[in-house]
Amino acid sequence: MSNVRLLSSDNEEFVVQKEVAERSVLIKNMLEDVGETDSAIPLPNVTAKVLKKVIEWCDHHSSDPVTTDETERRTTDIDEWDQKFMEVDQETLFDIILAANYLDIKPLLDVGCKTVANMIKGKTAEEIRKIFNIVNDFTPEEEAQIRKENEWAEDR
Amino acid sequence: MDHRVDLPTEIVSLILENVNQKDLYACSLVNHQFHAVANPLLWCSFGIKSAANFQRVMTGLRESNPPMGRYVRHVHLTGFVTDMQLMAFMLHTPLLEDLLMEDGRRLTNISLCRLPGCCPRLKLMLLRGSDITHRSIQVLANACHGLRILHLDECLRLSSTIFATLAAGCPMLNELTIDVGGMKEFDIYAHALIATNEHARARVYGIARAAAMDLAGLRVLTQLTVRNSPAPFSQHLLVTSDRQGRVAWPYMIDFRLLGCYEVTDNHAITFIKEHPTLVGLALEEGDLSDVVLRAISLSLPLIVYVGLSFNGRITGHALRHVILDCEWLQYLRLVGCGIPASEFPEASPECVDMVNGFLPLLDHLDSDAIEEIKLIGFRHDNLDDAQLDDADEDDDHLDNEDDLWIDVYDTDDGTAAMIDQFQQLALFGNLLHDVIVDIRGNDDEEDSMDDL
Repeated sequence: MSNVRLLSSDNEEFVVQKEVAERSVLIKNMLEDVGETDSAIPLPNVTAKVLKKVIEWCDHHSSDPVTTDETERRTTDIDEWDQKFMEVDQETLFDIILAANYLDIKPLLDVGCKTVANMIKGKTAEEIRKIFNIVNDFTPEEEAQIRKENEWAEDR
Repeated sequence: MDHRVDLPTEIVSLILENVNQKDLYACSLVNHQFHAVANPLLWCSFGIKSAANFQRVMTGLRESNPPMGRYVRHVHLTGFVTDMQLMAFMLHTPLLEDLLMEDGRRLTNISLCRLPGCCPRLKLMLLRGSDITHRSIQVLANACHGLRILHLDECLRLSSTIFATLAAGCPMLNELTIDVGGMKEFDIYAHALIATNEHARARVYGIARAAAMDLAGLRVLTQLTVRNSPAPFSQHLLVTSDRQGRVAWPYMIDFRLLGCYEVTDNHAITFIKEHPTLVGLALEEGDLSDVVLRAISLSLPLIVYVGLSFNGRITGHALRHVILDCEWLQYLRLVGCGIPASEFPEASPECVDMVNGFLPLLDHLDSDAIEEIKLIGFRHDNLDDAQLDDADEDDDHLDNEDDLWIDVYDTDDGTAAMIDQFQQLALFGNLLHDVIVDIRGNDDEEDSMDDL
């Protein structure tokens, strides 16, 4: 089993098994384009801290079958291991999501998005703003207008 | 502490795909970015339950700027709506794809003739209990060529020309549910009256044959449910080919014919043999016998659902065979087949029709019962017998039937006495009918057993 070297944005090098690294479609495509190489693959958008987490996830899921069925991927719940894995502070959670998006690791991106969705469920707009530290940029008039348009959806 | 990571809009949109309508409403009020993502999702798919709710949706459609109606794709109307309400609504939703109208009592041609013009991209339409006539279907077929799913439940004023119209206008139709009980061309009572008149009878059969061939023109149908089907139509439906003489519906997965009067075993077997890809099959209210179950075992390797309600000649023994033969079978619907529940001790109480407390009859067999039966096999034999090949099966069959017969006799004697009591209770009129049918069915088989 050959290894691949990955270089984080803060210049830390990680050596990973090829099949683990290839959970990332971005890296897989790069390796196919470049062929056998000894030099490290630079990942300028991912810090060492986040890359370590991502590699941990890829390692645990290295033997998962690749699910191409969109609806199946979307509807399946987060498994226990992934839930534990995602118990991190919000900043790290968002960083993992962004890294999964950049590295094109769809199952990890899904798990991350579902985790954030679970944080939103059952909350009011004000509570959501508080959780994610979002500033309300609506004018009172705009907010009243949206309430009026979407009031129907509040019924159930 | 106050560190903020901004998620790009594409990621917010992935996140919000996982929340429900109420959460989307909250998200639409968070900030501009969330609003831009949540609002189209919120308006894409929703249900309307009450008149008050409908009014509020209409307010949203009228007041929103930019108009939100163009995001609407899937609407489920569970409460009743009027023609006026539907017409006001569809003017705002030009890109509507799925429309389910669960209560169509107040909907007529007035709105449904205009619907296809307003929403030409319709892919799915469900309409229940409406008085629409062929005119609405004609307009639908002319405008909505991409229609894939059409469910018309309890719409009793349609005519048999619907099949030719749909075949011409909606060649992509995959799923069709239709109630033909109201079509006067093959009205069952008119048919009974003219039964003595050979000429008129032949005419009705001719119309039924043509209608069945038109329906066969919907070549890519994968699901078809025909309710209240009168005899001439049922018979032709099962043995029909399309106008080019090819087998009808080569891709059929789920076929449900509810109303199989005068359908013979041969009709059913022909159909089963020609459609080996069937996953669901219902042939109800007929006089089908165990040979149909045998054909299912032999020809339908993928079968999951079988409905044989109100076929009084089906026996418990044959059911056991079919359960052991069909690997994927999950559900058998057996309402009114007169099979004593005592023949299937594996079935849970939910599978049994307890209305008739004296002789509980089997209502259905669910996946739990079927799994249990597969484990146990034939009650009085070991499992090996069930795996005997076809040649040996006939002998085996007789042995088993003897055993089962003892059970049936026992219960029979009990019920015969009770029937006298029953007769005094007019309340149980139709119940009694079932019991008599049941006993008669058993008697017939008793004779045939003697012959053997």
